[in-house]
Amino acid sequence: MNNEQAIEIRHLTKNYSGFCLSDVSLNLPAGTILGLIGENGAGKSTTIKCILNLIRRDGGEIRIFGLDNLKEEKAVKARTAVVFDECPFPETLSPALLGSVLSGACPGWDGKRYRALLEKFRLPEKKTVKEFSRGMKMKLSIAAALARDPQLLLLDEATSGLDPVAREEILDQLLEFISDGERAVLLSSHITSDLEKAADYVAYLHGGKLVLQGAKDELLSEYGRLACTRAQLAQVDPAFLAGQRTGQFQCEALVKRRREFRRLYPDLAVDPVTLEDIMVFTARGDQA
Amino acid sequence: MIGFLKKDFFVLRKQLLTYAGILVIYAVVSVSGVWGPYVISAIVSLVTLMCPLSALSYDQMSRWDLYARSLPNGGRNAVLGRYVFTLLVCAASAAACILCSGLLSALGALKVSLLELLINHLATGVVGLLMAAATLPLCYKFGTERGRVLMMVVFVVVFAALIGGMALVGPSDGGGGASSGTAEVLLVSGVILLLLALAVGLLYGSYRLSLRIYLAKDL
Repeated sequence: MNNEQAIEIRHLTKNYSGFCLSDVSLNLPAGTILGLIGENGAGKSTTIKCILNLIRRDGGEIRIFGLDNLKEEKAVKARTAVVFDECPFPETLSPALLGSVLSGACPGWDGKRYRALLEKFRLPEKKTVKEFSRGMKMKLSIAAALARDPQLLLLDEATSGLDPVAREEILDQLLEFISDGERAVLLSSHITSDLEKAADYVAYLHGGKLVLQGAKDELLSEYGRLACTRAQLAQVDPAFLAGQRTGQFQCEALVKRRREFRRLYPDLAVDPVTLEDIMVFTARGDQA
Repeated sequence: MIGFLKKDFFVLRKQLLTYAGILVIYAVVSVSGVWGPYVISAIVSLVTLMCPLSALSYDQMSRWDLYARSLPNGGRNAVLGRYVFTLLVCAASAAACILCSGLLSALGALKVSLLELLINHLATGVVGLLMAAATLPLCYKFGTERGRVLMMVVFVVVFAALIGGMALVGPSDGGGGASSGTAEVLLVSGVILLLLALAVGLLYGSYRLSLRIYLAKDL
């Protein structure tokens, strides 16, 4: 891992009627994977599209390996490959024909690497894309992205709808991709278990706002899950509570500063959390 | 740009074969005397207009646009590739029609002057290019579904203008071209070539417009 930032986003804003991505700032160091989590419609795809200038942002700044994504768009796109949630390739093409197309469309295309990846993912070269399962289509998209030898890989919900084996295979490929410490991955997903396996950093978008970000391990050790009675919860300093779920007999809450909380409330049991807990409690806390 | 061009040919390869089949049917129909030999020319306009629209439609269906725009210079190359594709299918379909007419003439199956028929092929090519030039920016702006409706409007306007123009020029001598003098044929050929150059120029203007629309579009 080096100190270079693969992605630097500052105060990114994009307004739609009925939705606003507001003031999003985040960093992704080279050699790491950033998991972008959030509910459907939280702004994950909007962020990725802004990075690629597929939509015009209303404010903010985006730098990819130090390059401005608008002023140096061509250079940024040459270093960046993307895998969308749906396979974007024409259904009537086979991987072999697709390779021929992409060799003429993508600068830096490595046909040898592409064929090696097809073999690795066990994708038949002669079958058409329409005959592929969703998992195969995603692997094809990843093969096409990696054959461009990018420095930054963006994945927009690429693992959703895949079986655990296919997801594991893709996550392994991503870990291999960043292993030289020079490249980086932005993986947007609402399958938080994938990010727990692969991500070094996590950023949580909720309702168009970045509500949480940091190193995954730090976040998981910072937060805890409290299960207690109403009366016990009422005694807890609200400053510790990031979100809560109140039932008739039992309450659950997401507590911040877990170690300090344990010291102050030694009688209350605090369990480790998952990213999903953080996501669900934060969203519910927002609704409360 | 070559990759984008290849993609259109690969994606539409079955459709292009179908058009080749239609050309053969038209040739047979023209020999049988049901519609006359000028019907062969219709294939040029048909291919020139329908192929790029179908390619656009496939792109939007597969979300290829999103992928294309994520590539370096992808937006420009995608639009340029589409226009070069339009020119190539126009030239190829005109060449196929010329070949077909030449074959029919060699077999003695043509009842009209070959030269006049060739001019007709070129003229329909010009019409096809003009219609593509008018329709493609509309499809980039409004999508292929609404674009096809607008294409029909363009189609009606262009043909109404042509028929109106012919009415203004006055009736032909009715001889099916056999009585046309060489000077007249040369004049018409010159005009067609001039119109062809104009159509290519308009296609370039249309490309610039489509590019602006495409790059300004939020995907």
